[in-house]
Order: sequence, then structure tokens, then C-alpha cells
Amino acid sequence: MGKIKKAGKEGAAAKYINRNRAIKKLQISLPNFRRLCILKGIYPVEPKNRKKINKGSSAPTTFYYVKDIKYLMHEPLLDKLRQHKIFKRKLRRAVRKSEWTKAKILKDNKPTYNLDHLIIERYPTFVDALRDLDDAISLISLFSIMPSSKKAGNGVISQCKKLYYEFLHYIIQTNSLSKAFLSIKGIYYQATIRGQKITWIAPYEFSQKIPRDVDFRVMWSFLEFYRNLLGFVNFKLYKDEKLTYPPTINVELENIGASLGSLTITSVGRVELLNNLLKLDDQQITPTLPEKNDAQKISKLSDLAKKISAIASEQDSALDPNSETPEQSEQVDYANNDENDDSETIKGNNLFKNFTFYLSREVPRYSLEFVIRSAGGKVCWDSYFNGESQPNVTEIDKRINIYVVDRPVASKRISSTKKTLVQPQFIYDCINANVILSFNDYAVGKKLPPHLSPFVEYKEGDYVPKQQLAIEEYAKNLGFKGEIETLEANVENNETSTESTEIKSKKGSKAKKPENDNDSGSDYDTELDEMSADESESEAESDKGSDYDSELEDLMVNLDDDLDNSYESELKTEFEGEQYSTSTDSKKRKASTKPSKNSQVNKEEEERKKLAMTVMSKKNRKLYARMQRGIENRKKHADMLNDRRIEAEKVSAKSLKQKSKKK
Amino acid sequence: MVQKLKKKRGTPAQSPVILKQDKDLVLPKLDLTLDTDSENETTSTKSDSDSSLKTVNGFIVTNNKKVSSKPKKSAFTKINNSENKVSQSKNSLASEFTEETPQLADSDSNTDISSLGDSIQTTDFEDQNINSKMSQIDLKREEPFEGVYNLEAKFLKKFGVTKEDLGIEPVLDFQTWVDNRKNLPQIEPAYDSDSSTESQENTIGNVPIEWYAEYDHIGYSRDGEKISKPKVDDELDKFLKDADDPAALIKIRDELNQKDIRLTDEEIGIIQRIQQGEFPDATFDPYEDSVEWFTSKTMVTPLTGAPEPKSRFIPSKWEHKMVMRIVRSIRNGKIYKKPEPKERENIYDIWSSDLSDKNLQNDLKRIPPPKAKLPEHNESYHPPAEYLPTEEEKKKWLQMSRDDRPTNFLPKDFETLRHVPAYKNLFPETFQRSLDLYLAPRYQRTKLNIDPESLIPKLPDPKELRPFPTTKSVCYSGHTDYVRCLSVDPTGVWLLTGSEDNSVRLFEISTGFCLKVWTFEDPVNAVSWNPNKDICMFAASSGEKLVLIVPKQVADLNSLVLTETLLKNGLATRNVQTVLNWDKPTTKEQEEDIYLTIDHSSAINQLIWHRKGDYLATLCRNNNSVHIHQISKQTTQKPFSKPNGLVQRVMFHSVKPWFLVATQKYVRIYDLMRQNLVRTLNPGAKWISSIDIHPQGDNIIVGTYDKKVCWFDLDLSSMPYKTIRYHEYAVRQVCFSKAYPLFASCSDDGTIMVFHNTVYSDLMQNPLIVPVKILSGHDISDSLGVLDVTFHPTKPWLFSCGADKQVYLWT
Repeated sequence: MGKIKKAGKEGAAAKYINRNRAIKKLQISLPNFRRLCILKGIYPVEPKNRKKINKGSSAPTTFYYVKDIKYLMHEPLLDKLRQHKIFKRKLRRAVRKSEWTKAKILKDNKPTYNLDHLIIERYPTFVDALRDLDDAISLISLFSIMPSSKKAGNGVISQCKKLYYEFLHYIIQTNSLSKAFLSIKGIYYQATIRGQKITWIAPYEFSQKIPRDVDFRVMWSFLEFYRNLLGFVNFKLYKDEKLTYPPTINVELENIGASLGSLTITSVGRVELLNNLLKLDDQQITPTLPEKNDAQKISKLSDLAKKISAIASEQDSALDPNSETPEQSEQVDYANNDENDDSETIKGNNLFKNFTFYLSREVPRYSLEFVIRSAGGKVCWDSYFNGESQPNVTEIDKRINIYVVDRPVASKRISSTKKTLVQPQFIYDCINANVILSFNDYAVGKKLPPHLSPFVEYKEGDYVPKQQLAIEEYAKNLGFKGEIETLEANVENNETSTESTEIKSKKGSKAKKPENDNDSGSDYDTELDEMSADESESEAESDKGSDYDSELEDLMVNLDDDLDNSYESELKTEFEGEQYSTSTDSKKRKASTKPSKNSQVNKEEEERKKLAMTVMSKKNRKLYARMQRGIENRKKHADMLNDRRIEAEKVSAKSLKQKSKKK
Repeated sequence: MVQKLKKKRGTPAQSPVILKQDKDLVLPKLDLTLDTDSENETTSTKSDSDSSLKTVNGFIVTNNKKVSSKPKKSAFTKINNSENKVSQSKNSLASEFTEETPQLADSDSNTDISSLGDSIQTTDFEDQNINSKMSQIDLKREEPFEGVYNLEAKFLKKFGVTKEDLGIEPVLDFQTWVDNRKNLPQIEPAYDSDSSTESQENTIGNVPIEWYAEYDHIGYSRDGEKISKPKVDDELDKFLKDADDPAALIKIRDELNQKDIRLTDEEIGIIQRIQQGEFPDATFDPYEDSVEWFTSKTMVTPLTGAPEPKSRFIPSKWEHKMVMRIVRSIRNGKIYKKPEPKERENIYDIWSSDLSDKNLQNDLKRIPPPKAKLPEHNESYHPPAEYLPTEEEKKKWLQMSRDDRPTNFLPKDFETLRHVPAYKNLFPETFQRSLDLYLAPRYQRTKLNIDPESLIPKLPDPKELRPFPTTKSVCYSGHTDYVRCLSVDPTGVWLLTGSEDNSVRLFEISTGFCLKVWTFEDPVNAVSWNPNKDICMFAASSGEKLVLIVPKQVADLNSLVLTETLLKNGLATRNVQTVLNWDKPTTKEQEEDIYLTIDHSSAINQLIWHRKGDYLATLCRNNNSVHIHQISKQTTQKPFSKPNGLVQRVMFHSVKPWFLVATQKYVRIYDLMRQNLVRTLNPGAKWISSIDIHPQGDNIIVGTYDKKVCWFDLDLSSMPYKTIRYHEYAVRQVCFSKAYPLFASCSDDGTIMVFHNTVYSDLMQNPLIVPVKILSGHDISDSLGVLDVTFHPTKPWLFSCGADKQVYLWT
């Protein structure tokens, strides 16, 4: 006879442990346990059957894996927490007894800890860390604008600010910002780093109201971990990009108030190479000259090194487009920056490459500077030019192409320059659409087009806002990222700007398709095609040479019902240098003819479906019904939005009429 | 003085307390403090001689004023104390040094007090008066410590000491006491000098004077006599009096004694000064020179001409010892400066090394935290108009509780970026997110991302499974009530229908012509042709009566003869003692071709023939009885004396000598030969309505009132092989086709489902069941739809009858 089995010792019951028992086992207080869980990334689990684990009770209890708790038992941090507890007790005692010297000694020997091992444990690879960075950056960006109180002492807030700006500078350096969205909660950004999409929200930089019902201990614990994490991530990112970490802070700029721009990024490679070469010289010369030949060689080498350095510096100055001013040529760092930009054209988004923006006082410079610079543009305002202080920069600087102004009427000084004035939304919409949109829509004083979220993915049957369609169409008409060479010309004939860009697009080689199009599904593209059916038809007629190909493609399309495949084929057509819309368009036409012929067939199909549904299993039938309900709800929502849009349009049309009548 | 000194030194005086304990580290500091102290003291000895004189004077002045203060007194006494103890303290200094530090501080002061004492002595000579007073006070306060003063004599007795022993209460001789008394200021016993001593004539106390308004006295004197009310002047008199009296303005009324009191000049002066915001006391000087007890001013000429003691010029042995101790411990390394904690390089490339050799927690698969939801269009600061909520929606949103809200914000259009304010809920939302991250249990949910159409099974095209009935072709009309039952003759030419209108009609199938109508007294519940082709006979039930009819019009001669002989033989061999009575029909009934009637005691619900046409089973649901009649012998058997459950349907097996009984929940199969139960089938239904058996005998279908049709394979389990739920209402009848692989079910929803079923002879292959057609044409009346359905024996035709009084042929 075997041993009598006790309940709760085997199986699922032995796998889980509730919170109170875990705390008892670890012999720490609840707040410390929470802190440990936060730092270790341990979360509760939901057992499959509560009753089996909780002695037959289904009361709401928090469960952890026993194994997790066992890991915690070996955690060095646990020991540190205990040490800290004792330290606190001793200190309190000393203070109470007015034993100041003892207290001081205790304080000097305060137990410290670090979280390095936790970071490597939780994120074994760098990509893992990047994947979990969303919350970290959101929280750090939130705390970076908090008022530094007594509680948030020890420079935590300033450290948050520093870390956040370092991260932003990395994105600026690599031009990896893909999306930006102005929401009512804050500004959402999305950057793609090492294939990981990192999305975070940064608050508008106003003083935040700190509610009372927030448990700050939790927030601090998270912040502590995230600060460590972001520090390591920043270091790694900078290192891999061959930039020095930490970047130096330009005090002069900081005093001006250029918070983001006050960090100075230096690339390691070039400067250090030169330094090393020069060092080599010194090392080789200083030893007591061994032989004449060698000495000669060395002297030659040193000469060479000097020449190289001279050439390099010459190149720097030559590459620097802003080398007219003597101040810039002195700063090697910026020259390096520009060179990096040139080499990274393939790498990131360089939408605003040829633009210099002047940011007016009322616009959120902290965000706009980041967005514009990460899209390759240059930013300036009074005595500040793109990360450096230039006291002679004013509104009427000649380098400025575009003014970003957010007021009903621009100041006379700005409007007298007769250059393009846009509202800040323009920048964000351009980034999201990945094209330079029409300046006219965003002109100062004009009612802005709606600002759409770039994070929405449209599925079949979803409602697509009109603005989205308009932007897509505009982008398609442009054909590719319109490279506007001379902005002055553009400004002169603002109305014909789109046309001119179109012409240029035909001139230019077929550039890669904008990324955004890739993201949105092909269904969406087909819808677009409907909108621009006329144009594409005419285009289709114009290039008959490729008809044969298109037919082939059609056949392929018909064979593959799968939408993805059709999308692939579309890509293929594109690759073959044909207007991609033609194939889809013809497909559409075929599809439209089919139903008229086969209405009878459709009916039969319907009946067959009905019959087939009779033999469905109960589970499947319910699932199907649920799915159908979901589809219906989605459709209802889309219809509702559509109806509302039509209504709103009617209302606006009416009001317009009334206005015109009044006039 | 000691106290003052202590106070003046403040923290340095306290520091030795701690220093003593952590000798190792901070002793050098102690050394310093000691040095500074001694320096201060030396300076003070020189300077304080002047100040001490002042203090003495100050004391006398204040004493006269009766404002003596304790600390001053104690300071004085201390000085005197030290006077006596100078030598003593000097001796004890060495020993005290090593003792506890507070005493150490005391001894310090003692050293310098010695010199102070000298200075005081000089002053003594100058003023004898002072000296006498001081001695008086000295005698009083020559205390070992202050606390003893508060002790009770009784308490001291306990310890066997008196206050005199302690030197607290010195015994004074009378003469000195008198002398001392003489020096005290005399107390003048004047009444008006102090308000407290002022005589209060009226003793009523603090009560409203109105209480005595009615009496002729205003209170009581100290002796208890009534104080009579003085004569009260009326206002005019008062006025005249006031006008006459030049001092009227400086009089106030004492209500208690009902007197006018004239204020003195002093009192007026006080009032005036108060009015002006000055101090009430005219003599009070707020800007009096402060008494400098310890002054920094050094006197030009010293108070004493005594030479400096030698000790001043000799380095202290004890201090040297102390210092050497520290020096030694520094040399031995006991005292050392802690090195500055080295700044660890806290940021480095943590992901640089290879992972394979790292000990990672791979045992448990951690679920990465789910990403926060991405914002949609409605979160934009300037969303499209269609995303903005209407007033109603806003109201609804505001009324909803925070947890119920679909979004945690209300979309709002700010039009331009400059109008966008800070979002006040950002912090709580971030907090909520962090709470979710560490408090919410995580589990991975597999999200179905499939095309809903893929759930629908792919069936073979019904076109390939033809023939099956598809359209309504013939309508057999004539019935005036629900058509309950129908039966097709084995040759497939004639159709019998039984109805609630008490009639049985005989139709020609091909034309729909009604050949004959039999009318009974009760509704016809069941009608059934004899399946034997040689015999032309059918059975019908009308209420409790079962009738056997031989329709002569449709029967050919051979079969007619055969049938009649069968019935006659039966009559001859009939066993009289059967369960039920086999009655001969009346003449009237004979005209209607009725050959036999069997009276059941209850209404018959079902009739079913054995495939050979000799046996006929009847079911009476009311009394739950099943009978099997044998036509050839004209006998009746009752196979179940008490059936197990309410019997719904009975059935003869199509091949084997089995008998199927469908009770409410189960189908039981009995072997009639062996008289035992073969199997029990459980369709899992609540109420079985109908059963039918496949012509090959291996499969059974069961229809139920809870909308299901179950297919059983007798070779497989007792649970249904397939359950089909399509009908919206109760299934009334199921039937197999004898000639084609078809079966049909009819329901109260007015539809008939036709299924194709292929049963393979290979046991390994499951039967194929494919729905091929839904026939709808019957109307629903009184929530009853199609009541009976049956297949044509040779053709893929289907007959159905319903509550809409119609009978249809589907081809």
C-alpha cells in the first residue's frame, strides 16, 4: 500500500502559492514584497481551477507560482532589503537617542544595491529589453516634467529628464521616428529600433496635477527599475551607433532654455581615431630613439598621421553646409553629425531633409524639435540653431524655409518674409503620411483638417475617415516622396505645388513606396482605387505595353483567393514598373460583372451554406454566431460613423451657405 | 554660573557624550574642544571679574524689588560653593577627568570658578551688607543638589536622615534670625494698597445684581447682616449731581455695593497709559540696560594681584595622555579615515557578453507584459467630426461609473494645438497601468484569427447526391382538420391519410384524386398499410378502436382473396382468451370494408406493422401499454406488463426479430425471440418524439421534441453518432426512404429536412450524412407544423401532412 496522499501537496496545489503565504515564506513586509515583485517582474497568475488550489474556496486570492517565490528567496536584493530594514532601525534608534555621530556613521555605511543583475535576468537579450521599453519611456517622460519635490529628491527628476533626452537624441541621430500623434492625453510617438516598434506617450509640458490617491511607492519602484533599464539601453544604443555616452550637456544652451537641444552628441569613431593616431606618435617618439632608420620611419608615420588628420578636418569643414559661420567649423561634433546624416539616408526617415523650420514661441518646441530633427529637418528659433546656440539667429534668418506658427495671424515680422507658414499639425501629419503634404491645407489662420491617429489599422469593413483617404490619394498622386528642390519656387505658386511635385515624381526614378502604405492592408488600397478609378483608368490606357503583364497578374489574382497573395502580386506589378492600380482596377471590374451573371448561383450558394450550417458542431455554431455578431457590430459602428460624417458635412455646408447669404 | 556656562557652550558640551562611545573615530575632535574650552576659560577668568561685580549689584537691586530669579540665585550659590571647594575640586580634577564626560564639563568650570571666587571675595570686603545677605542665602541654599529641596521631611526620615544632616535646613540662632528680619522691608498694613486686600462689603459674589432688585437690601456683609439698599437717585438728580460735582468724570459706579468710587490719580494715570498703548506701570523701563553676567570686556586692572598659578604654565598630563592614546590608536590603525566609496561604473554594456553561460530563469515561461492599447482617431486633439460624441452620449458617459465607460476620456475637438491643455488624468492612468503590470494576473489567450466561413464544413455538392425531393408537385386536399398520419401502400399507388376530422381518406398518388372516405366517431391518430404486397389491407385507429380495413376498390383479385382467407383462418383458429377483444364488425361497418375491430381500453397513438405483415403493434400512451396483434391467429399479446418509462414510439426492427421501444429518454431494443433486452440507446434528449430504422437495420434515427435529430449506429456506442440541430421547433417525425439513401425529418417549424445518407457496408467507414434540401411549404397553425412525413416505397418522393390540413407530395 502506498503512502496516503495529503491534499495540497501535489499537482496544481503544489504549483501555486497565495500572496500571504509567499510573504510569510520570504519574511518580508508587504510593501517590500510588492517592490521586489515590481523589480523582478513577477506577476500573479490565474490558476485554471481556483478551488483545487485554494482548499475548495473560490474566494478572490492572488496566486503566484511557487517557483517564482523560490527564485525570490535566492534573490540578493531580498537580503539587501533586510539589511536596509536593520539599517533603518539602527538609524532611527540613534537619532532618537541623539547619537549624532553614530547616526552619521550609519548613514555613511548605508547598504546599497544595484539592479544590473535583474535587468540581464529579465531581458536576456537586447531586443527583449527594447520590446518592453514602452512603459519605461512613458513613465520616465512623465516624471521628467514633474516638479522636483522633496520626495523626488536626489536628482531623480533631472535624471529622468536626462535619460529621456538621451533616448530622444538617439532617435534623432538614427532618424528612426516613424509615427507621431497629437492626442488629448499627450503626444504619442512610435520609433522603430532594431525592428521593435516602441510606442510611448509624452505629456504636454504643463505642470502636472499629482493626485492624492496614487501610491507613490509603487511608482517609485517602477521608476527605479525603468531608470536603470533605460540607462543601460541608452548606453547600448549609443555604443552601437558609435556615439559617446553620456552625451555632454551644453550649459550655454541649457541656459537659453533649449532643453532637448542642450545635449551634444559626439561620435566616438572619428575623434578617437585621430586622438589615437596622435597618441601613437607621442608614444613612438618619446622612447629613446633606437635606430636611425626606425626613427625616420616613425617620423614619416607621424607626418602621415598629421596629414590624415589635416585632410579629415578639411573634409569636415567641406562637408559642413553651415561652414559660412566660423563658429561651426570649430565644432567638430556637428560636422560629424552632418556626415552621419548623409550616410544614413537609406537608414531612416529623411522627410524634412532640405527644410529649416523656425518654431514660433507658442508652439510646443520640445516636441516639434524632436519630430523635425528626427525626420532630418533643421530647427531654429531665436539665437538657437539646430542644437547649437547662434546668437545672431532671428526670425528673418535666410536659412529658414518654413515657419511653424500657431496663432490666428502671424506676426508682421514673420509674414513679411513671405515664406511658408504652417501650423504645427502639419509636421505630425507629414511624418505619419511620410510625404510632404500640401502647405495650403495647414496655412496659418485656416481651419485645420482633422488629425488622425496613425496607429489605426483598417480591416475589411472598417470605417475609413475621409481625411485618411484624402491623404492617401495625395500621397499617391505625388507618386513618391516628392523631393522639393527649391522651396522658394514652391512658395511662389502654392496652388500648383501638387502639380509640380507630380511632374518631378515622373522625372525621378521610381522611389520606394512609402512605408505607411505597407502598413495598411491591401483592402484599403483597393478602396482607394475606387476613389481614383478615373485617373487610373486613363493611366491604364496610356501604357498599353504592359497590358499583357497585367492580364497575367489578373489570372494569378483570380487563382489566389487569398488577399495577401493578391497584395503580393500588386507588389510584383509595381516592381515591374507598372502603375500598380491598373491590375487591381481590372480585377475590380471583373468582380463587378460576376454577380450579375450568377445571382442564381449565389442563391444556391446561400442555401448550401445554410444546409452546411445544420451539420456544424454546437461549439462551431456558437463561435460562428459570435463572429457574425462581431462583424455586424463593427459594421454598425462603421455605418454610424459614416452617417454622422454625412450629417456633419450637411451642417457645415448649411452654415457655409448661410454665411455666403449674409455676405 | 555653571549652568550658564553649559548653555553658552551648547553643542561642544554635548559632543563629548557621543565622543566617549565612539572613541576610535572622533577622539581627535574631543581634543580640539578641550583646547577651545580652556582658552575660553582663561579669557573669561580675566574678563569676568568686572562682570561679577555687576552681577552682585544687580542681584541686590532686584532683591529689593522682590523679583528675584532662581537661576541667578543658584549661580550665586554656586560661586560661593566653589569658593569653598576650590581646593577640593582641584584635587578631584584628575580623577574626574577619567570619569563620565558631563562631570568632565563640570570640573572644567570648577577650575575657572576658582579664580572667580577670588574676585568675589574682593567684592565682599567692599559691601558688608551684601555679604550678610549672601551668607543668609548661602545658609539656605547650601545644597548638594537642588532636588532635595523638594523632598518632604517625612520622606527623608525613611532613609534615616534629616534635612539638617543634609545641610538643607541649618539651625539658626534667634539673634541672627532677628537681625535678618530687621533687614527685611516692613509690610504696611494699608487696605488700599492692594486690590486683593480691599474689603468687599457685599459678599454675594459674582451673581447678577438684578436678583436683589426686589429686596430692600443689596446683599450681606461679612457678618451676615443685610446691607440696605442706598437711596437711588433718579436720572435728573444724578445729572444735577454730576453737573455740580467737578470730579464726576473720574468716578465709576460700583454696582455691587451700589456706590460711586472716585478714581485715584495713580489709577487714572494707569488708565491713560493703557489708552496710549504704554506700559501701565509708570516706573517700568522696557529699555533697561541688560545685566551682563558674563561680559567680554576685559578689565584694565585685575581684581586680584595674585600671581598666575603654576598649573597654567604646565602642559596637562592628562590631556597629553589622552592625545597619546589617540595617537597610538591612529598608529595601530584603529582610527583611520574611511576611504571615499569608489564610484562604481554603474552603466556599461550589459548585453555584451554571451548569454549561453548565464544562469537564466528558463524554467518558467514568463509572459511579457501586454502592450498598452494604441490610440484611435477619437483620441486626437482635433478628430474628424464623426468621432465627437453627441450631447446625449456625453451625458451618458458622465453618468456611467468609471469602470463601465468604454473609453476613459471624452473625445474633444480643440481645433488648434495651442488650445490643448494638460491632461489631468495622465498620472492616474499611468499609475493604473503600473498597477496592472504588477497586480494583474497574466495569461496567454489564443485569439482565434480565422475566417468565420472556414468554420462551416465543406459538404459535397447536393447536385451529386440526386435524386431527392425538391419541389411540391401534388396537393391532396379534402381534410377539414389536422392531418395526423399518412401511409403509402406498398405498391406505391395509393395514399392513406388520417385526420382529426375523424376521417381516413384514400388518394390516388399520381392524380391526387380522393377515392374513398371512411368516417369514424373519433379522430384518426394512426393509419398504416400492411407492408405485405400480397395482402391488401390497412389498419387505422380511431380513438380506442383499431380497425382493419380491406379496401376492395383498390385491391386486385388475388390479394383480395388472399386477405379474406387470412382473416377467415384467423377467425377459425382464434384463441378466445386474448388480452383484447377482437370484434366482428357490424353490418354497417362491413359495408365500409371493415373486417375486424379491436377495442383497446385507451386511445391508440401509433400503429406499426411488422415487415411481413402478420404482426401489428399498437401503442396507447394514455395507459402506457403496448400490444402486439397477430392477424393470422387473431390474438393479442402484451409484451410488457409494465414498460420501463413512458413509451413514445415502438418499432419492429427491419431485419432482426427485434422490437424497439422509445421511452421518454431512451430507446430500448428487445429481442422478441429470446425475450431479453439487447441494447439501450441514449440520445441525450429530453423527450423523444419519433424513431425510424434504416432498411439495412444498422442505423436508427431518433427525432426529439427538443429540436434534435440523432443518428445512431448500432455497431457503435449507445450515444448518437451524430446529432443534428437544425429545426427551430420540435421534431415530429423522422423517416427513412426504403429505396434511396435518404431520410427526412419534419418539424413544427413547418419545414422538412431531407438528408442524404450513405451507409457503407465497410464497417470501418462512417456513414455519410449530408443535408440536401429544406422543404418548406406547410403553414403553421396553432404552433403545429408538419405532423407526419413518409417516403414513397419505390421512388424518391416524399409525402407530408400537416396541421394546415394539407397533404403534399414532394418530388
